[in-house]
Amino acid sequence: MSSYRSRGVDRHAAERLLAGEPAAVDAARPLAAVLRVAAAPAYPEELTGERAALTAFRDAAQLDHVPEPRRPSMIKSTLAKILTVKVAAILAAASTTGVVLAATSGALPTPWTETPADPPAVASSKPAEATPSGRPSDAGKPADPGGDPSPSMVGLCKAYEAKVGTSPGKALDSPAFTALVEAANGAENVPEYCDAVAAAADDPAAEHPDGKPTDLPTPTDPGNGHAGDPPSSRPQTPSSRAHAPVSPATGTPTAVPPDGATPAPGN
Amino acid sequence: MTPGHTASADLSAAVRAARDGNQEAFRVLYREVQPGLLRYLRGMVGDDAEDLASEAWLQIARDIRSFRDEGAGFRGWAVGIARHRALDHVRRNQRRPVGGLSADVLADMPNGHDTAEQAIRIASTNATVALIATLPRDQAEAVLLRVVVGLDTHAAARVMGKRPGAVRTAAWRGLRRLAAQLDQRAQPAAAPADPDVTRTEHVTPKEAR
Repeated sequence: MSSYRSRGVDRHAAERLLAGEPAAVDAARPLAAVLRVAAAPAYPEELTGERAALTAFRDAAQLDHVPEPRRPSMIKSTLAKILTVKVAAILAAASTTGVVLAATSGALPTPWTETPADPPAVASSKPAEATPSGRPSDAGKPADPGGDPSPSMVGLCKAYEAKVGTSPGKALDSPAFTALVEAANGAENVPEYCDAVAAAADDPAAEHPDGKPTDLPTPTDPGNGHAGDPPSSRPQTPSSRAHAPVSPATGTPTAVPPDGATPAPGN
Repeated sequence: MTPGHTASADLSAAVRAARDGNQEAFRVLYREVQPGLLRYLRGMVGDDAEDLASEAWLQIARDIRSFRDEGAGFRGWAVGIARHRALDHVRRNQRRPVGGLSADVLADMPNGHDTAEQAIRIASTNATVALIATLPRDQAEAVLLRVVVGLDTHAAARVMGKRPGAVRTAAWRGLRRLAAQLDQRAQPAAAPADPDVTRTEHVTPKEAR
């Protein structure tokens, strides 16, 4: 194209513009100016979702953290170290408050430990736990937690109740809650089960032999979980949109929908 | 934190730290990637961009531990997640990406002399993104990914699912068309809006692409 008007946008000029090198082209050209403005540095208004993103990151990091030590004796010290470092972050993330309770009660078993402080080997979420490799056999509890529910169940219920406040649609999606769902005999029974747990677990002494600091909610205060800061920008609650399927292991979504998928020859 | 330079910050150290659970590293990634990601979404779907960006970051936060660089880098991976959601959204809602620009906004576009002196405000940036979005779909996307998101050709090709040559061509055509549109506004009587229209007195066969 040799029109004098667009002489500046031959392929070489285009590549320089695309690479963000407007100085190589006449900077007064409207096109260069448009591209420069389009690529302007970040505006504060564009970063309002930061807090929500960080919260999501913290939550995900908590639930996914895979522990290295595999001996029971090391678990407690590792747990203590993790909690010491992250206690402020953990407690700030409302949905994990209950999980911390479960962790510090010393009752948190891991799939590979034989000595949980608490009889049923319940897989619950804590900083050191990812998806349990061998799901421990649940005691097959009916939906009635009985008069003395395990501290893990108490912790899980609190975490569940906290999550329900912020992301109702997917409160039970996390693998951390599998044991809770099993104990309650189904996800639909979890609310009722947790009510019973809260009612039965009215002995605060059962909760933290480790003397974990900070304010701990009483069993009758299920709402403690979502006391934390509400997201200031876009809410975390999913909209009515269905989740886009996530291709698990690959980074780039490989299942690109028809529009962009076929590498049409030439463009 | 310039979103649109391909010589953009190397994020690999931050990615590694974030994968290890370092929250500050994730904050760095957010600040580096979000502006370009958001503007790209604006170009592709208009007003729903912010919601989609938020959703994308929830997924990015969840999936970063399994992130593997498959040629698009972290930036491309993150934008790919956003793109996937945007396409789903468009399909589900049968919406077309928002394009089109009123003459008034174009009139407000900064010219070369103004840019150096006045502050560039977000409205100007959004206007330029909207202008780019008026291009044919692939051209708009290629230009946005290269210029606004800051991907190189190969990373943009990964995101779009196209060959690098196709992306190069689309981006070049997009720039030419933009230049012609802008020139036409400057001198409406003299130049056609579509540079691909053959002008017999100037075009030689090898240039008539």
